[in-house]
Amino acid sequence: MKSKTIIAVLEFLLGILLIGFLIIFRASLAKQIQGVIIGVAISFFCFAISNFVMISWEKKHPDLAAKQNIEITDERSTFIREKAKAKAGDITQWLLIILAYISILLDAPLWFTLIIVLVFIAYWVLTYYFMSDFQKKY
Amino acid sequence: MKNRLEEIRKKTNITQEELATSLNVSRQTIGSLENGRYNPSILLAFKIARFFEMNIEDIFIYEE
Repeated sequence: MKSKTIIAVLEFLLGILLIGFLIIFRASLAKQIQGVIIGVAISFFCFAISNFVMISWEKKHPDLAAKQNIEITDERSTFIREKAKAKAGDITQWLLIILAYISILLDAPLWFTLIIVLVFIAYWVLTYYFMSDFQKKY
Repeated sequence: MKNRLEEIRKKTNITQEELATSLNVSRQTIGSLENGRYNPSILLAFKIARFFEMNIEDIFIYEE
C-alpha cells in the first residue's frame, strides 16, 4: 500500500514537473514537442488518479482487495494471462504481414510498408533473444 | 493428471473457497484442479499435500 501511494505521488509530481517545464520553456519548444509533453503529463495525471482511486477502494474494501490480489498472483491466472499474451502476439505477427501486403496492394508509401516489416522483424529478433535468455536462466 | 482433491476436500469438510484462501489461490483454481482441467505447479502440489498432511502421490495420480 505504501509503495503504491509513493508511486501515485511520484506520478502526480512528474505530471506537474512536465507542465511546469512546458510553461517555462514554451517559447523555445516546437509545437510537436509541446504536444508530446502535454500528452505525457496527462498520462501521468491519469495514472496518479487511477492509483489514488484504487488505494482508496482497497482501504474501504480490504477483503475484496485481498481477493483481487490473489486473482492477480494466482498461478492459474498467471498461466492463462501469459498464454493469452503469447497467442495474441502470434496472431498479431501474422496480422502484420497481412497488413504489409495490403499496404503494397493499396500503393501506400514505402516507409509505411517498411515500418510494418521492421516491426515484424523486431518481433522475431525479440522472440529469439528471449528464448536464448530464458534458456540460460531456466 | 488425475487427482483425489475433491474427494479429500469433501472428506475434511472444507469448501473450495476455504481451501483456496488457505493456499492463497483463487477458488476457480481449486475448481479447475478438481475437474482435472489444470495441473498444479510442483509448489502448489506441495502446498496442497502439506495442507492435508498427506504425500503428493496420495492426492495426485501420475499415469503414463
